[in-house]
Amino acid sequence: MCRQGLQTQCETTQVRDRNMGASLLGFTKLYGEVPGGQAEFLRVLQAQYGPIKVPEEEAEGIPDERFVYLPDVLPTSWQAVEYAGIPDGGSVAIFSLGPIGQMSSRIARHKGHRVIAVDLVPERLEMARRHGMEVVDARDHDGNVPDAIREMTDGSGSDSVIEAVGMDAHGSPGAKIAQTVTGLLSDSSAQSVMGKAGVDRMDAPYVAIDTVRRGGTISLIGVYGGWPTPSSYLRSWTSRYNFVWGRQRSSTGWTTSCPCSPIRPTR
Amino acid sequence: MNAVAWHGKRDVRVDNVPDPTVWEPNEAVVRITTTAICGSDLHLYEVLGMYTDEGYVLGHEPMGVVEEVGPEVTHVRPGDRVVIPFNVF
Repeated sequence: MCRQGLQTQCETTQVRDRNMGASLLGFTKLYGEVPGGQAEFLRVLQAQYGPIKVPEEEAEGIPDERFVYLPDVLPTSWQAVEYAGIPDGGSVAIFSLGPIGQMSSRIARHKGHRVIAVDLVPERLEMARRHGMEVVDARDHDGNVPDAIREMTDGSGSDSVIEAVGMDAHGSPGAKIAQTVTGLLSDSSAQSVMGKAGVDRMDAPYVAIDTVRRGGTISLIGVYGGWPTPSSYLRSWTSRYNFVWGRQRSSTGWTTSCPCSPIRPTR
Repeated sequence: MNAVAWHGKRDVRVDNVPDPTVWEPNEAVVRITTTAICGSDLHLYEVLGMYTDEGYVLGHEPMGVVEEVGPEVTHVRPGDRVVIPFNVF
């Protein structure tokens, strides 16, 4: 798997009894129950492969804050943009401007794309605007952001969409109740409900599907944990959009290949 | 050592837990110098608690300095500053 860049499906650390992919640090029984790193010391499994050395000379005197985005969020954002398949001169709408949305916006701009950044939190919108994004404040459009983006893109919708929200979306009251109820069940009952019935709050992928132009690409980087599918087969078939999602392909690979990374490839 | 441990929905605490050690020849122990909190930590804080037990140590965005390596670990050595990818592979 790692030779194909599919490290997250690693057959050595795969969590087979849960039918999940490779183990994750600090992420419960679903992902191998590996003790996490919010601690003074960390036991690193598979250390013959995983740890990435910060170059000594180039990084001397540069604080950790410059590198601490590399275990997860910067390579995750890089992947979001890669998966979005934005054509040359094309546009990408980015839903939600938390850390992943902000970094994805800047990476997409860095690669020369038009970025339409969407959120409903003024500080997040201001940060995106400050870095040169066109912004859409969802509160100004009475729940109809896709129409607003179509107006900005000659009526067709953006070439690509990055959905950086995941199962925590605002505005999905049924799922919010389901998540709350699941949180009150016994562990075994709750796992059954969570895995089969699905309690994802699905507003964000619906909006992404409504926003992307026909034949465009949705890159879904938000995390989902339940069962429902976000689109009817009819809509998927007739619009012929691409839907690219799934766990980060290779944090190691992206970390060393991303030109905005302060760490250059060493192996 | 001190570590952030899960105790229940919206209940995490700094606990004193045993220091980790190298168990297998392909493992290392890293002294954490900086670690981030992630939006996905909130999934454990809120909805995924059913998949963990009390006392489980959280966190998946660490970096630090290598303290100890097993004999199969050759590309980093004690004293190296390292980033630890959140995927285990």
